[in-house]
Amino acid sequence: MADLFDRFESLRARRDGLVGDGGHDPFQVEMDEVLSQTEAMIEGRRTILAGTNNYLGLTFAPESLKAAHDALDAAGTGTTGSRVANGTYSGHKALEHALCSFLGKEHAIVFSTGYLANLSVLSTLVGPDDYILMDADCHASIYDGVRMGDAQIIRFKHNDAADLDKRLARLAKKPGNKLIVIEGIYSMLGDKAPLDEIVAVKKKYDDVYLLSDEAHSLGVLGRYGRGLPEEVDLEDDVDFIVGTFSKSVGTVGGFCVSSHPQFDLLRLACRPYIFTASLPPSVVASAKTSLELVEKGGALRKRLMRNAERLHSGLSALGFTLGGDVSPVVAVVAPDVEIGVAFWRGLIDGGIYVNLALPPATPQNFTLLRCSLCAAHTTEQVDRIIEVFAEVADTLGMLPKQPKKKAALG
Amino acid sequence: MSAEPSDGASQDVRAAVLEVLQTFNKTGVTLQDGTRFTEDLNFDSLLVMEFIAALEDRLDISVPLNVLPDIETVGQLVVATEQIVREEHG
Repeated sequence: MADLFDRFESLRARRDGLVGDGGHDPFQVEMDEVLSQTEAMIEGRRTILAGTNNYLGLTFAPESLKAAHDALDAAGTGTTGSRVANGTYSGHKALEHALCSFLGKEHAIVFSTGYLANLSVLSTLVGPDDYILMDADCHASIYDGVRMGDAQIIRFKHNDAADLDKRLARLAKKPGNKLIVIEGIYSMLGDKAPLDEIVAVKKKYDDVYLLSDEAHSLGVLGRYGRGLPEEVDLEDDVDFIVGTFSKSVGTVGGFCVSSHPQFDLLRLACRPYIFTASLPPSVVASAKTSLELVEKGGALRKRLMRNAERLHSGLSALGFTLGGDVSPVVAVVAPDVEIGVAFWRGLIDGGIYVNLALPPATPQNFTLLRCSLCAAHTTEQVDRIIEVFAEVADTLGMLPKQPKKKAALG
Repeated sequence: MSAEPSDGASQDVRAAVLEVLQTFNKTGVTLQDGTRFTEDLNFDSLLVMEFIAALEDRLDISVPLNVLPDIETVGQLVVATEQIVREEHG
């Protein structure tokens, strides 16, 4: 007898292998109580959160809480409708205007999540005669978005502008628009796109557009937190910026901005915009307020980067293999899945929450203990994270090599 | 490559596909046109991506992801690859 769920047999086997002897399921962690931006109670234990993507720690910003409370009381718990029906309130339009003025683009559309922003734009913007050239390490929402659309999908090697160039050259004689898709900071390893090289390649060819997903770099990079394009002063060369409110902005939702004069037509074409409910007023209000805090958040960015450097150099000095450059994402590479899972358990038992990331969701088949820092982490918390990493590595007998004498910064 | 007769080019493509595929052949089955990627070679989505990247490098082509869902066998991949090589290298 074939059961409907037989097709998930390999998933079941893999999950049972991970959870093993009644241990925690790394993918079903429950926070009993959230104590602050950086701490929660997990299984009755006070736990430092080092895997939340809450980069600036704005989830409890008093101004944003107040804006959310006011909007909740004034406009209710939800819109109960899609943006194209009854789900567009003045707050949604105000948020779109705020995004335009913050990011210096003419048009903005707010979506219900970052995932839906990518599904919307990537499935719609390019058609059957067009080409998407996407970085191979792009996020699942980008893969899903392009698969929902009709364009030809071509992957180029991660962060390899020469490979992109080669692939664009082969397409140069073919009609159709080409859309390059990259990310400002790649979520798993925390490495940045070589935007200057990619823009230089883009400029060599006709009919090429560039879209950058700034999910992990908005609020993090650039003097005013406008992401990688601001940091490297190439904002005018990025035609479309996609982003999320669920990381630095501290709530939920997604957006796309562009100065293309016809951009608003996407509102009539994007199915994940048309056929889903819009964000509730309280979320919209806190997003708009937090965006202002992001722009004014120079001090928060400094604290965030200081924490990132401290964790990066601390773990590196212990001999761990780290996935990328110094960034608020610090990914520790585990030798294999089994050790990765045991390590993750050791961390959670030691009161540290990080993300366990397994293939195929990771680049190069890595098993990752992915940490993300918060501006609100104290120095003591960062040091405690490093300490527990050292303890667990010791317990597992896997301190990769002898500790260096002194952490080398940068 | 463009100077070669199409038969020769076609043989080259077939040989290249088989050569690259052999390095990903963990089950040890003999590679034939009818060999199926999922059932006979145990390819999962990750391995497919790695294999396609290696094939792209070997032949200096771009294989659009769109063609993959329709390819179940080695023979189908050879045909699709030949077409891409013709388009990209004239």
